[in-house]
Amino acid sequence: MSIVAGLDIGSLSTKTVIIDQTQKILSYSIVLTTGDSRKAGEESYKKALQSAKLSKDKVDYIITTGYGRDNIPFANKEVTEITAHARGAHFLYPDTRTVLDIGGQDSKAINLDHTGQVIDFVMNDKCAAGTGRFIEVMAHALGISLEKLSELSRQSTNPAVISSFCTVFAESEVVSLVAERRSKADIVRGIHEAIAERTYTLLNKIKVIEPITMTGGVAKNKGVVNALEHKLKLKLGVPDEPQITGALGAALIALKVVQKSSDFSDMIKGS
Amino acid sequence: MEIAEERNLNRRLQLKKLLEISKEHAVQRKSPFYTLRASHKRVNVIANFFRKAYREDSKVAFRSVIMPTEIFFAMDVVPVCLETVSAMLASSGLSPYALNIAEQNHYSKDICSFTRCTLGAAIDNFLPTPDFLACTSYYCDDTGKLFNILGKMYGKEYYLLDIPYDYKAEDSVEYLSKQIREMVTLLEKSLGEKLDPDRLSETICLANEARNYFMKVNELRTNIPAPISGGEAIDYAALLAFTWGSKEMVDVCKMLYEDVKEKVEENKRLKKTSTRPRILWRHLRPYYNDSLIEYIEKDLGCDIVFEEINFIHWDEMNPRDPYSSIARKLLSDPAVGDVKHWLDAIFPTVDKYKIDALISFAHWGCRQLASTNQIVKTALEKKGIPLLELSSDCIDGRDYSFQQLKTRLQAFIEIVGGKK
Repeated sequence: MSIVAGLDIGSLSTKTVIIDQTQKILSYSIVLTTGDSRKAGEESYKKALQSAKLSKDKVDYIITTGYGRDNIPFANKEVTEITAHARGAHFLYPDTRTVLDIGGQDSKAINLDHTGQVIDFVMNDKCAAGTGRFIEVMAHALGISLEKLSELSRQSTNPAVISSFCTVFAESEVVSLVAERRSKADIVRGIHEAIAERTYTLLNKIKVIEPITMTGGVAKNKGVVNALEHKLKLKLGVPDEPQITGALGAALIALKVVQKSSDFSDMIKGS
Repeated sequence: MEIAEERNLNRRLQLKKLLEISKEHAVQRKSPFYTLRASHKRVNVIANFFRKAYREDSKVAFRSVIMPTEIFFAMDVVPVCLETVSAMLASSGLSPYALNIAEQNHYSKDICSFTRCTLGAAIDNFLPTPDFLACTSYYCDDTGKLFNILGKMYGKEYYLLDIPYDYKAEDSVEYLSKQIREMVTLLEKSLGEKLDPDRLSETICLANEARNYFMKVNELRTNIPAPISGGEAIDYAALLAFTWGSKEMVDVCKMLYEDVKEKVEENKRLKKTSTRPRILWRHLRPYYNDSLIEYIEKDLGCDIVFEEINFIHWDEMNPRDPYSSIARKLLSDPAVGDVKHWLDAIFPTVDKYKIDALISFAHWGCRQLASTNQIVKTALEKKGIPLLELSSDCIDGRDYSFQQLKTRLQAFIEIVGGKK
C-alpha cells in the first residue's frame, strides 16, 4: 500500500495532506509558518503523521509546494503552487476549468484543460493587496477576529468604498472610516468588495472558463466569496477545506510518481 | 540651452567623476555566461568606444537605439547609444546611483528606467559631452523628450528622426531618406566638416559584411543542441545597438561565426543530442543580476535558443544608394508599425528554431511590450506555443524579487514540460 504526502509551505500557513493509494485523505494539518518555513514544514508534517497514526517510514514519497517548497530537506520533489492547486482543484471538482487561489500573499488565476493540466496562469504582481495578509491587516485595524468578518459583512446595509488597493494606505483609510463612525459591517463589506474588484481584474487577464473553483485560505471567508460571486454573476466551487487544496494537489502528484514507479518495477519484474 | 552654461562640459572631468562614483558604488561582476572568444572581444570593443567618447579630441554623438550608426562612423563620430549606457551602468552596479539622482530631480518612477538612468547620469554630469544628439521616434515614446532635455542640458541641437507608421509604403522610404539627409546637414554643421560619400559607402559595406556573418550565426543556432547559451547571446544587443558600420563589428561577428561553428561541429562530432525545452526570448534581460537567466538555463534545464533582439530584419544595403538603404533598414524593423509587422517577422523563427515556448521579459514601463504581449500571446496560442510574460526591470534592480520570478518561471516550465 502506497502512502504519500503533500506539503504546502505558504507565507502565512503551512499545510500537509497525507493520502493513500486510493486517493483517500488519511489526515491533514494546518500550522502557522511564522518566520521559519523549514520548522513549520516539520511541525505540520509531524502533526499530520500523528493524526493518521503513521510513522515517517510508512510514507513513500513527499512533494512540497508553496514559497518554502525548496527548503524542506526530507521532501523528494517540489512543484509550484500553480500546478499543485490546479491538480487539487481538478481532483475535487473534475469539471473545473478555472482555479482562483488566494493565499497569504499571492493571488493566482489558473486555466486548466479537461485533464487538469495547467494551460495558462496569471499572478498578482509586486503587491500583495487583496490577499490573506491584506485581510489580516484590515481585521487588525478594525479590532475584530478573522472569523467574524463573514458574519459582519452580511449585516452591511451601505458598504463603504475602499478606494485604495495598497495594504498600508487601505489600512489608514479603514482607520479614517472608523473615525467617521461608519459601521464596522459596512467597512468589512467594503473591504470584501475591494478584494472582489481586484480579483475580478486578475481573473479576466486569463480566459474565465466555467466552472470556477476557489482555493486558498481566503476562500474560507464567505464575505469575499459572496462579493466575488456577485461581481462575477456566477457560483464558485469552494472545497470544504480550501486551504489544503495545494497540499492535496502535491500529494496527488506524489501518488502519481509512486504509481508510475510501481508500474515500472512491475514491468521489470515481468521481463 | 540655458542650462549648459552652468555645466562643466570638459570630458576629462566627466571621466574623473565617473571613476570616483565607480570607486564608491561599482560592483565587480563576472558574467557566468561568456564562453566564446567573441563575447570577450565584444566587451572590449564596446568599452573602447566608450573610453574613446571621453577623449577631448573625439567627436561624440548621443543617439537612441535604432538611430543608424553608419553615418556617424563615416564621420569618425563615436555613436554612443544611451540605452546601452544605462545597461552598462546597471551591470556595473551604478544604476541605483543614477536612478536616485533622476528621482531626486523629480523624474517619476513611472518613466522607463533606461531613460531615468541616462537622465540621472546626465544630471550628475558623468557622461561625455556630446557634439550632436540624434534619436528616432521608435522604439520608445519617451526618447524624443529625453533628447530634448539632454539637448538643453548640453546646449546642443538634437535631431528627431520621425519613423513613419506605414513601413511598407515607398513614400515612407522617401520621407525618411529626406530626413536622414537633413540630419546629416545638421551634423555637418555641428562638426564643421563634410561627410565624405565614399566613407559612407564604405561603412555601409562594413555593416553588410557584419550582417552576413551574424546571419550565418543565426543559421547555426538552429542546430540542436543549442550551440551557445541565451545568456551569452542576449548581450549581443549592445553590439547591434552600437557598432553597425565599424570594422570592429565585422571582426567580432566574424569571430562569433567561427566560435559558434566550432561549437556546432564539436556537438556533431560528439553526437550530442538534447530534449531540453527550447525558448524564444523577447526583449532584454536584467543587467544588474544574472540569476534569472542562470536559473532558466541551469536549474530549469531549458535552452534559450534565439532572441528577438538578434533577429536580422534587413536586406543588404546598397552602398551606392546609402540614404534609401538606411531608410529601408529602419522601416524593416519589426517593432515599426503595427504588431502584424512583428508577428510576420518573428513567427517564422518559432518553426525555424523549433521553439517550445516564448518568454517575454516585460520591462516595467515599456509601453511597446505591454501593448503587444497579449496580441502575441493570443497568436502563439493558435500554434500551441505558450507565452510567459515575466514582469521585471532591465535597469532598476531595487524592486527585483527573484523568488516571485522563480515561481512564475517554474510553473511555466511545468506547463511546457507537460506539453512535451
